[in-house]
Amino acid sequence: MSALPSDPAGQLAAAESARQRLAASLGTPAWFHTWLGVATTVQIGAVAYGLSDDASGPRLVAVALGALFFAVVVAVLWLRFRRLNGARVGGLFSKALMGTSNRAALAETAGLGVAVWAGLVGLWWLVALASVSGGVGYAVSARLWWRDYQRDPASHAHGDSRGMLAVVGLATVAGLVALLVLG
Amino acid sequence: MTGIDPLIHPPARLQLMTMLTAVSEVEFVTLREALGVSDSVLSKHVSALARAGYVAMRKGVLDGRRTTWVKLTKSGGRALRAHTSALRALIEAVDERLLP
Repeated sequence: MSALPSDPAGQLAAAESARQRLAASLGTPAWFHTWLGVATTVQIGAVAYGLSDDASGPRLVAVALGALFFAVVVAVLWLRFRRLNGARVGGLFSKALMGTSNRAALAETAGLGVAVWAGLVGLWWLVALASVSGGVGYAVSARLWWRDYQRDPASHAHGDSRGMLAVVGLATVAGLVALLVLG
Repeated sequence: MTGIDPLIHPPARLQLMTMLTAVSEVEFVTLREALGVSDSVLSKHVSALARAGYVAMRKGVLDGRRTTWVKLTKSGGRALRAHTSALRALIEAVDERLLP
């Protein structure tokens, strides 16, 4: 039978301090946000090109290559983070890398929407601008998520469930296929 | 005192379990450095918590070396919440006695 803690407030403060210390010791690998932004830019641009009337050859290939590039970059960034820190943070994967946070979803959707429309009407400078904007927005949202995590690690450490990520992934693929078929 | 968990009662274990709420899974070495204890001390704490089902361990390989990954289980999370709630209740009880 254990005795009552002599200093419960001190114990709680020390525990909280330890959690903050661990979170503060974690860091993102070099060029983390830059690569994430580039991958998102390429993916948006590839979709816009794949859905445009000007695209020659199998349009699905352009879309697939963009998605593949994005997936490879995300996987590499995730592995580099784990190797650098000796830790996995589920929230980083789903909210920052996979973009399930509201900010990331908004940035990507807005960029994608404008880029696809611009591709359909042949405004290629706008396709480039919208793709880059979407990529920058996505990267900034990831950086903001990281800032929120560092401030309150317990609330942000755990991301979406695998089931939810699978649903998001399937919905994205289904949406792209529908656009390709309808386009 | 109801809710005070004797397994989480030692300050180092409370810190360890609280740290695990900041990550999904963490390598033993990272945990040891953040907690500032020796391998053997951490190993004893983690083993005790694992026997109770509060944490889970798995072996892995990172950069060609064998590693041990540790994570908080759902029952561990529930136990931690109950324990910290009991500590807060204790603090409030003391405050009520001291305040007029």
